Amino acid sequence: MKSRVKTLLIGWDAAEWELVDRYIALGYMPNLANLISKGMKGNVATLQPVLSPLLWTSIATGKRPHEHGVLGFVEWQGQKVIPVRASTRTKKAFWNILEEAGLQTQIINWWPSHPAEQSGKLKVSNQFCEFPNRLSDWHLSPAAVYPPVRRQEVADLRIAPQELTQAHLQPFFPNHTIDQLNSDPMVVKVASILARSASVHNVITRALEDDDWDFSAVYLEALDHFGHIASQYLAPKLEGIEEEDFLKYSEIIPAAYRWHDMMLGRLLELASKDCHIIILSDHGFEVSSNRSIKLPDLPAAPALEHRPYGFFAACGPQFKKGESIYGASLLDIAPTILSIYGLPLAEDMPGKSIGDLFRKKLPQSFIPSWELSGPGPSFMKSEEANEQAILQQLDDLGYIDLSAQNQAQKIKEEWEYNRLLSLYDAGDFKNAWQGFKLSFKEKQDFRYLNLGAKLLLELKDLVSFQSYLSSWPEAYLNSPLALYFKASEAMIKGDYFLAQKHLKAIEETGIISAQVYYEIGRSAYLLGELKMAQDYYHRCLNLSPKYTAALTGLAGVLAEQLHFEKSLSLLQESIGLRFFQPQAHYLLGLCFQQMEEFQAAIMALKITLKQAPKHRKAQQLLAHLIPQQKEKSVAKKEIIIVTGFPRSGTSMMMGILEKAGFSLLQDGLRVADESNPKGYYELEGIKHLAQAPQSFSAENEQVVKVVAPLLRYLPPENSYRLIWMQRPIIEIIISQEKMKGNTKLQNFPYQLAMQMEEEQKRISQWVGSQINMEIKQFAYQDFLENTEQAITSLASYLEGDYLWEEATAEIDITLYRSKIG
Amino acid sequence: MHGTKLQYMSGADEKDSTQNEKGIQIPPEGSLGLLALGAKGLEAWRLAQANTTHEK
Repeated sequence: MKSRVKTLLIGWDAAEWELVDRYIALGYMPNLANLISKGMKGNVATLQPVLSPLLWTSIATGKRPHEHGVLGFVEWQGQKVIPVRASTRTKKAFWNILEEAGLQTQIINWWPSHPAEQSGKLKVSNQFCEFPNRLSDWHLSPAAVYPPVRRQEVADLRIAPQELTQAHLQPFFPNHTIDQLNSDPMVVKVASILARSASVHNVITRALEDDDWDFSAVYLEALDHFGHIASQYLAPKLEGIEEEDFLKYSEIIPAAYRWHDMMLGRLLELASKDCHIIILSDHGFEVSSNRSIKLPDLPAAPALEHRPYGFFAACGPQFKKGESIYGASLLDIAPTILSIYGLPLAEDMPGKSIGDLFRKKLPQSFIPSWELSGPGPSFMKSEEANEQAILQQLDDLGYIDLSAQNQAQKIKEEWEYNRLLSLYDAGDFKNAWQGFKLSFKEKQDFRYLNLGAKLLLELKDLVSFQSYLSSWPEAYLNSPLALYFKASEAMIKGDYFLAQKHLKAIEETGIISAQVYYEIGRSAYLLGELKMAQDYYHRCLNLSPKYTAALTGLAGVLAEQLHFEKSLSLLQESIGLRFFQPQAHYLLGLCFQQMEEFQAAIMALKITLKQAPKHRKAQQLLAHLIPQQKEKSVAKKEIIIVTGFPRSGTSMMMGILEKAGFSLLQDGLRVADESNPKGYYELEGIKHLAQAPQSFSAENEQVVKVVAPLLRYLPPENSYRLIWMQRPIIEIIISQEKMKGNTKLQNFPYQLAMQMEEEQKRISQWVGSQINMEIKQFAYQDFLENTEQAITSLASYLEGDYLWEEATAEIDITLYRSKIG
Repeated sequence: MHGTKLQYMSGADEKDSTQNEKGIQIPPEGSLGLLALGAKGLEAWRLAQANTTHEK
């Protein structure tokens, strides 16, 4: 009998690898060390803005904040500020999808998850445990627990800070006397965080023990909160921290990590041995000598202490052991969980299943979206929990400012700013700039000036950039910020000398910044000053060891100095942190070529060109390498796929290739008709590719027609050369309607046209990211109107000696019957 | 010393250890280890507190 697939997902907000490594080495985290030794580990890249309710919702939905709609810590509802609610989320969480598949789920304390969703085995919202001033007032909102019958059970599992004793708190303050424990406000803060995390732990342990479950998730915010109150006291002591305070508080963070390891030990005991365990954080935490003693007075300023890579560790029956995952992002978690259960991924989820994690390559199917597959979640009737306590805690930590005037407007602006940052992070600079112009162009605060200038430089709109910069207030015109952007502008213009001059001027102000050091390094590299470049890249990495661009930059310098092995090692580290780096893959290709590992070099260069198709150096090096490889071995040839939407000219292309002498994989079952007088050239079995991808079988250089939405199901072990037939969507729709007998379209289906455009974009993006697929688009119209040129282009793409003159004769212009314009 | 209740806290006074049904020592003042056991640890701790109060 097939064993039941179980997964326990543990969220540790802000867990930081540097501390995990430190405490594992000291023996403080034996349970985590054991889990890692049996499983996989890695970094997971966060998203912008680095704000936890947004990030945990992205983890849950597999979508970015501007798509899932949770855009702040608080929202304005019913004329007042309330903590952001789960019901604000506009997309399904992965647990909704698991539930649709009939799986039993438990979700405890996810942020945000109030009011609780009315589905699954047990849902306990993030507002189940806000502490009152008096224990007798400790109300539990009926909206915080589903099913309602379990409310009292959950209420009884909560511990208030008032219940904790010296025995619980002394490990956090080993040097405190009893008097100090009684009088120090820091003890109250620690007790509050500890009691809340223990309450959450009580609920999850009870749920794991007593329920029948397939998927369980628990979120603990404690490490983030401990970090914000005590990271400045971590060893080594920072300048500016009093010796006395250092002695009193430097053990808070180590004790917090030990506490989490103790809880982990219990969860591992309760989860069955065949359960998948995934622990992750949404971002890291600044614990180097760059730690801040005092944060600037900015909205959500504590987020400045967050590092861009979170922690990831996992073990379980489907996962590999003793290796690392590379290039993962928070957007990959939801697809990975769906993969564990063999569920299809959705094309509207931008992440991927973390392939490195699994022992076996899983057959992966796709659907356009899970949003259409069933009703979205319904929520418990919302009732106020102890919202004031939550708001006060967010205020105490500095995430929000409850004293600010005009809260409604402030929240609206904050949400819009976060939406634009999310668009920026997604690379949608155009829409981000449109939004910025509407909301913030006249604003003169630092963060708006910064975002506006960054967007214009990303758009390479230097005219608007100069005009925008000239509108900056006097105080900022000669500021380091303005100098930084002037340097960026000079870089875009190729004036590296001027760029360096501006950057050095920033350095002379005494500012210590990894970003500035990196940019000086880059300008030096581009000016050929390798020694200086190396020096500044090192300075950047000393401040920020996971600065991927600096790792890649330094690798470039080392490659120039012919230190290929050292360069390779840095590149692997850099790509491990962030996979989308065309220049890093190119350098990897270069290093492999120099080390005479040609197959690896070709692979790296192909990835470069997938990520940056116009990368000239990669094109040249690949063109140089491929003939060499062909001489050395029989080149692996590819299956040729003719694709596109139905009625985009795929049958015409099949006819052309047949005449040119290619072998076509077809069964002739679908015969010629009025719509395709020359035949369809199809294979009936291809229609079932999604259900049975393993049944696909074709010889190299054989040609198969596969409609675009089925491309994802082609077996990944083959290489494919794709011919994508392009035709205006309007023509395709008209032609499809004609085929259905609808010769006079009364109302043009714009909705369908837009969906097809989107679908085409999604499929193209996906194909572009596959290393076993080459693709070239051919316009249907070109074959009918510029036949010779189109055939020449096709011949050059397919290579080899074929009968192209015969093929040209195949084209029948009279069949172009749905032409527009 | 470890059983000392802090001033801002309410709850039981300092108590002696009791044993649960498995013979494990449950200190009525609790401990991080007991908290880490989760629901079972909490219940055992609360029972130990109640028993000690009752004995007194």
